[in-house]
Amino acid sequence: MIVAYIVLPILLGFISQFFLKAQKIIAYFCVGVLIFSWFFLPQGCEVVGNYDPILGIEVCLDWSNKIFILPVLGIFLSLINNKNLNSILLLNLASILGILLTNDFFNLFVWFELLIITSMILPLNQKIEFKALFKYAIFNILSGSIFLISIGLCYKYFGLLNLDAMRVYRPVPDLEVIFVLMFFLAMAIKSGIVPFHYWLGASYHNFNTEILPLYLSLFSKIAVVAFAKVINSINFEFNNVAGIIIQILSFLSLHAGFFLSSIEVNPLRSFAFFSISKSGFLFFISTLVPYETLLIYQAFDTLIGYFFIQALFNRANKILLYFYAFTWFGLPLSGFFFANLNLFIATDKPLLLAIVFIFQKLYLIIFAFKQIHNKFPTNQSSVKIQVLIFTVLIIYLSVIAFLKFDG
Amino acid sequence: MESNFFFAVLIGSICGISCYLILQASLIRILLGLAILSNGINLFIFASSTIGTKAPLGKSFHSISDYADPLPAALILTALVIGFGTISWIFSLILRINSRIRCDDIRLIDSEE
Repeated sequence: MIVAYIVLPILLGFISQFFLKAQKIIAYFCVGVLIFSWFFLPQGCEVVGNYDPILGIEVCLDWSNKIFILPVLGIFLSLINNKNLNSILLLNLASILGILLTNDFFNLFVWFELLIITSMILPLNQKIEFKALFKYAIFNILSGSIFLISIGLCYKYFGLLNLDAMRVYRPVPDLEVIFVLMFFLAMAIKSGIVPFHYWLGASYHNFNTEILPLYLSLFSKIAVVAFAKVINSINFEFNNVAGIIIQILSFLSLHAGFFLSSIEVNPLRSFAFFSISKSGFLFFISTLVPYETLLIYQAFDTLIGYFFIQALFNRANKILLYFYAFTWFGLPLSGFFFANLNLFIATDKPLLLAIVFIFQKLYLIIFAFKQIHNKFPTNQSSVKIQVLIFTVLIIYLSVIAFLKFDG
Repeated sequence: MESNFFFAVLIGSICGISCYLILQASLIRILLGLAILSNGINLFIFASSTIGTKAPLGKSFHSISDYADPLPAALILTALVIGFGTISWIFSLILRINSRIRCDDIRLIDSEE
C-alpha cells in the first residue's frame, strides 16, 4: 500500500504522456486518489522486492511523514492546469513522496535524481534563457554527483545503506564526519546556500511565475528534509568539526540570503535569494531539533510559503496577503505557533535556537511586507481554489500540531 | 594497500580531468566533464567494497572473504542509468542551444539570445 503511493503517480505520469488531452483529468484522478487513500494509509514499513532489509529496500511511513505528505499533495492539486505539464508534475510528486518515504540511502539518491531530472524539464514549457537552465542543470547534476560520493563513503563506513540499520553500526567516527560533510555539501548545493548560491538567482528569476513557487517553497527545501532524515537516522552528534562547519555556513546563509534579497532590484531574484536565507535557517535548526519536529515546522512553512508566493504572483488583494503573512509569523491562534514552540521544547540548546529564530522571524517580517507592496508578473491562476485548499490544509495542520504539541 | 593507492590515484586523476573540463567555457567540454565525473564517482563506489576478487556466483561458497561484494556493482549499474539519463538531457539542451543560436561558448549565450 505504501509502495503504491509512489508507484501510482509514476505510472499515471507516464500513461498521461500518451493521452495529452486527458492529462488534466488523469492528474486530478491521481492526486485525488492519493488524498483519499491518505486517510486509510497504514503507518509502518514495507519491503520492496524479494530481499528483506538490510540488503533490500524498504519504504516507511510514520506520523511525521504522513503530516508532511498532505501539504505536498495540496500544493500539487493547486498546480494542475491545462498545459501539458501534468505528467511531469506527477513524476515530481512521485519523487518527493519517494524522498519522504524511502528508508534506504541509495534509494534516496534515486528519488533525488528523478526530482532533478523532472525539475529540469518543467521550465522548458515556456521561453527561457538557456544559460539559466544550463546553470540549474549543471549545479543540480554536480549536487547529485557529490551525493553519490557520500553514498560511497557511507557504504565504506557502515557497510550497509539501510537508514534504520545505520543507527546500530558506528565503527569509525572520523569517516562519519567526512560522510556527513559530503552529504551536507550535496544538499547545500541543491538548496543553494552560501557559498554555493551563485546559480540560484541566475536561474530562478527566469522561471515561469506559475511554477516558481514550487521551486522556492518545495524543491530547494526538500534537500533539508533529506539531510535531516539521514542525520537523524545515524544519530549524528554535532559537537565536532562537521557540526561547526554546518552551523557556520547555515548561519552565514541566513544573513547573506536576506542581505542579497534586500539589495536586489528584480523581485523574482529577490525571492530566490531569500530562499537561501530560509534554507540556511532550516539547515541550522536541523542540527538542533529532531527530524519529526523539523518536519511539522516545515509542513507549515512550505504550505504558507507556497500559497503566499502564489498569491503575490496572482496579484491577490492585500487582505489575503496580510492573512498569509500573519499566519507565517505564527500567531497564537494558528497551529504554526505550536510548531514554533515545539522547536524550543525539542532542543537542548534553546538559547542558540532563539538567536537564529529571532533573526529569521525579523527577516521574514521585513521581506514579506516589502514584497506585498511589490508588483509581480501575474500568472492568472485561480486564487479562490488556492485559498480553499490552503484553508482546509492549514486547519488540518493546526489540529495536528495542537495534538502533537509536547508542552 | 597497493590496489587502494592505485584506485586513489585513478579516481583523483579522473575527477581532476573532469573538474578541468567542467570549468571550461565550451558546452561540449562541460558535458564531457560531467560524463567523466560520473565514471570517476562510480569507480569510487566500486573502491568502497574491498572484500574479495571472485565473482559471487559459484555453487561452492567456502569463505566469504574470497568473494567480491555484489552490492556496489548493483549501485553502479543504477547510477550509470541515471547518469546516462541526465547526460542525455544536457546533450539535448546543448543541441537546442546550438540549433537556436549557433554557439558553443557559455559566455556568449546571453549576448546571442
